[in-house]
Amino acid sequence: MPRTEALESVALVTKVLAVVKRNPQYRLNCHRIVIALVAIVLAIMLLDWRLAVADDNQQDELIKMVADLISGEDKDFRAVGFESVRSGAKSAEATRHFAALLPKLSPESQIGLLSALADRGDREARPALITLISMTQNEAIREAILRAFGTLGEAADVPVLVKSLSASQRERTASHISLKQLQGTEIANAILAVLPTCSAELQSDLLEILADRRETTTMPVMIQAAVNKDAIVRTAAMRALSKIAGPEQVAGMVCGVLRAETGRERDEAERAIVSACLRNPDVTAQAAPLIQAMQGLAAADAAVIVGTLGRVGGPDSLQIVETWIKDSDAGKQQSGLRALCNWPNASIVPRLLELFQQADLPATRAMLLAALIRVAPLPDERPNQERLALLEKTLLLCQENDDRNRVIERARAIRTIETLRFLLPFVENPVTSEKACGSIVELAHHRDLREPNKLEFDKALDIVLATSKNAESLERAKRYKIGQTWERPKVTSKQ
Amino acid sequence: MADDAAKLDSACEALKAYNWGADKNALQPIEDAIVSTSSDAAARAALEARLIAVLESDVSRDAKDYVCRALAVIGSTASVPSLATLLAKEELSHMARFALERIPSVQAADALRAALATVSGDLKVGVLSSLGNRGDAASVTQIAAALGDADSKVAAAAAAALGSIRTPEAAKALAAAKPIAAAMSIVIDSRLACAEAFLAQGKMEDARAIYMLLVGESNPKLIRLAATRGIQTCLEQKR
Amino acid sequence: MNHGTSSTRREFLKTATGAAVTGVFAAPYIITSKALGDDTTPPASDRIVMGGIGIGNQGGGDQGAFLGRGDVQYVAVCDVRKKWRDGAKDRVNGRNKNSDCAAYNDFRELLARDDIDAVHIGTPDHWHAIMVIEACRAGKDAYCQKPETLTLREGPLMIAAARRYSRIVSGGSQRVREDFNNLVGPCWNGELGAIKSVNVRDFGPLSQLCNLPAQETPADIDWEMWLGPAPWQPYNSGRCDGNFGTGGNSWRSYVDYSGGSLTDWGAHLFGGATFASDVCELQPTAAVFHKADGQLGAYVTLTYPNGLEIHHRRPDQLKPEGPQIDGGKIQIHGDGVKRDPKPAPGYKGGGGIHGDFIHCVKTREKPFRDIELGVNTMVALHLLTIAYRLQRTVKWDAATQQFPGDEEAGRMVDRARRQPWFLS
Repeated sequence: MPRTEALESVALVTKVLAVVKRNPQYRLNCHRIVIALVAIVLAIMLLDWRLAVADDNQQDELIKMVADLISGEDKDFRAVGFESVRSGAKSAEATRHFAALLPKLSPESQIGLLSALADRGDREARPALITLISMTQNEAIREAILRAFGTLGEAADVPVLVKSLSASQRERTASHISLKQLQGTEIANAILAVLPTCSAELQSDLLEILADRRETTTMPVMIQAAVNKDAIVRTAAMRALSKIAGPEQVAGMVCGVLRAETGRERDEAERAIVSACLRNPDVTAQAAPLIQAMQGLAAADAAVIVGTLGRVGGPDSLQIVETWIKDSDAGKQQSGLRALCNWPNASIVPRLLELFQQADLPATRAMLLAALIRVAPLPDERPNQERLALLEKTLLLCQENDDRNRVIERARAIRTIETLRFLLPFVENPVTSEKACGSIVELAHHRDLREPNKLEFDKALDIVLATSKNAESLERAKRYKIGQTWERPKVTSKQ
Repeated sequence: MADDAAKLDSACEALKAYNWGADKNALQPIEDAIVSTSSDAAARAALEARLIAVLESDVSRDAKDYVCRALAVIGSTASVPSLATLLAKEELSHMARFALERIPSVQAADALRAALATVSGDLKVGVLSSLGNRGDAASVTQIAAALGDADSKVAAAAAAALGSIRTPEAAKALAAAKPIAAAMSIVIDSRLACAEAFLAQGKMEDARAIYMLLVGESNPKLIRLAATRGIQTCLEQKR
Repeated sequence: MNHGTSSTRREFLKTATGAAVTGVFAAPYIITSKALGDDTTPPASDRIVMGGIGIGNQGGGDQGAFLGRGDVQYVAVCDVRKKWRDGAKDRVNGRNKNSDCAAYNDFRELLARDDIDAVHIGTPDHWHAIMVIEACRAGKDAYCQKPETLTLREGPLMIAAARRYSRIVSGGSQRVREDFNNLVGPCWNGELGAIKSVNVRDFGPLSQLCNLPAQETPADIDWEMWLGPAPWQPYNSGRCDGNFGTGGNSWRSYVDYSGGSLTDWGAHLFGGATFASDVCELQPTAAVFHKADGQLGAYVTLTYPNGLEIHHRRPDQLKPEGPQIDGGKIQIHGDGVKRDPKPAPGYKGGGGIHGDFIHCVKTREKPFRDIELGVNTMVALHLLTIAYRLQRTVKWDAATQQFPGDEEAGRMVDRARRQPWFLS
């Protein structure tokens, strides 16, 4: 019986006595009633005390049993003990008992106990981690300690975790995860405090961690870092901002785009701005902060940012881009065309076609054609037939086999049986055959398209099997024909 | 409505000639009727009666298979006698259980229990498992009697059924069991299942008593592991 | 406390290796260089000894993933079809450069081997529960392909067996963690706020009754064993091989062996949706059936104890007030109220979901797709199925694993298994 019930019983006795006092007929037996009630309360309290002692004994027995199990040699029995560390004996005292076992255990058991304590999540175990990490050079144990800091650590542990980001791969990974996992409002400041003292690589890691923690108060620091002299830091800063920045940060991020080297860094920086613009739930106003930021820029800088504006799209952007295209300055025209070619959807297709017909320069025609090939099959509210028809129309504009192959490759994005029929003739042409086979197997990959059209797909896959020289296409065609799945190789990249 | 009735008539006729390879779409009106009679007891009883009539007639194994599947969903006490007659038939016993196991009435359990006396071997295994799946506490005595069966599959099925029922009486029967060696591991597994049921009901002393008997060194490691984990769980429970 | 008295293969190898060095051990056991390990392969005493059960389509893929690991010693295969059994055996022997791989028709013989630590199971769904439970009873850890269960009753029994014997049991949907990162990130990092609703748009039909005609049973299949606990039906190749899709040309299409595409792809998509929205440790409280309305088809909404709603193929798209993320097959929306980020769980060890399982077999931690999480996803899918079949709303009590006061739905919790197979 819980102690509170005993206390409630005392309160009840007090109330009964008050009733007795108010009623003369009970007063004669008042002392007897009092004695009886007091006896009842004492009995309840005694029972409660005995149960509490029993609970304590039970917990002591559990702690002893767990200690015995996790100190043993059998992995299975140790695992049973670790289960209790994870979820049993919920008291700070028990946590301290479990943590105190750490130095006495074998390395394998230490790692198991550290993992269990981390899952238990009671910070009473933290001092034991600090002691242990100062005592051991065992990489696996250090990894487990660093990982446990994720749930058991606090702001004061940030320096040791940051330092470990430069250690072995295992320690680095563990620290990285824990820095993301640490709870508390002071963690961001603790990371910012060590940031200036770190190498470019470490700063890059920390910026990523801050973004993954969604520490929005650190965005001014990220914007500063976006113009750092070191490209690694700049790229990490823009990448971090792409994860958490909104319209308010766009103006600051423009500096990051302008500071970025042309090529991959610039491309990634532009994408980061687009992400920030698109976080505005008001679709009609998504380009507004970028348009505003452009107004104060020098001509050369504005020519860069207009390309970014094209990536955001929208009617306001289109108006500006059109002004650039119609400008008498050839450079501005080219920047405007590039911006239009960056457009995020197919709404500008008629304009692209019109400009393509008007363009004289081969380079301009090539740029416009590439844009058409890119946007024609983009998934949107257009029916599949319309997307495919546009791609077919684009094919007619192609003069080079490379362009034709690009069209054939892009066709796979339109998942209809008509696309399969569109692709089949290209298998016969040796120049386009492999791309067509690649697109056919990609279409066949989608079971909800393949199964209802099994006969047609089986024929097409037979043609692929007879024609293709590409090992992957052949393997895929073989598997799909007998209804098997194919695991797409995983692309691993930092972003 | 008249149209639906005509379609159902036609489907019931098709069912009489049903066999593997026949067009199952012809039976769709029966499927539709199963759904549409959900809140119309009289219509459902009428449908059940038509299906029972097919079950009792000279139709293919596949047609009877189909009826048993339907009775698993809509069958009532009315279906029990017809289904019970199939329990001892090698080819149809399973599908009879397929229906009887899901019919909640006491009579369905009685029929299964009564069949224990008439079937043996694999058919008995099936009947025991159905009583276990129903959690039929009233059958503990009859099931326990099969624990000593010379057929290890029957003894194991009896133990498993008691492990599914998990009442104190089932636990007692398992504790007293002296099955042939091949069924011993499932007896112990069922005792562990009973201990888990006691734990879930807060009867820690009863649970612990079972675990303490199984934690000794003479038991296989896997059983000791299970018992150790059980004792630990008992200690984790607040009084 | 002395917990282990019986000698295991691993202990034997350790002892033998140590003794051989000191020259005490004189038994004719030859310690090969392979057994001792090298730079890329741990010594045999540290490798996980594995076997595979059901080595067809997906089982073959799993076999490849485990076979390719240096820390796995693959020793046995089991399949009721000779051509797959032999092919799988040859793959193992080719990889191990010996002829030691054993091949079994009956999974119980494989499970009876003392030297095997873990199995992977890639059979049709009607075998999963029995095999996982038997594996646990035999002291094996198990990696089981999704869909983990065929009925609602199977899940708790599988979990109980895993917990009872402290076994590592992992479900087999790799897509839960790998395919929906674009959703998992914004949900777990707090960007969407509290998740309010999800729409799972894709994946198709329920499984159906099979009534294919009888064909002559080929000599290379043990048909009785293939059927196992499922109702007896005559052999037809369309039941058990050919296309593994759900269009009526394989076991995946039929109710005795599978829940159809709804549980097949559903395991991935609802697994992903419940993981992204952080309810994978919960079971729904109801499956609410919405009748077809004009142009809009019928659909079902799962409600969760925390108020989350997961719609299945809701025809009118969610147009919420708060932020949303559209991942194509899955659309998620939250209330937009900033929430502290929470690190999303991931695989332990290296090598995807298979590596996660092997890591956990070694460390005895819970795997990413612990059987309980797989079962919770399956419960959601079984509730969807039952609501569609009954064409009405059903309520679910996760604590009792029953449909309270709903006898009709209660009948669909399980089905009788064909003797001599049973589940307990």
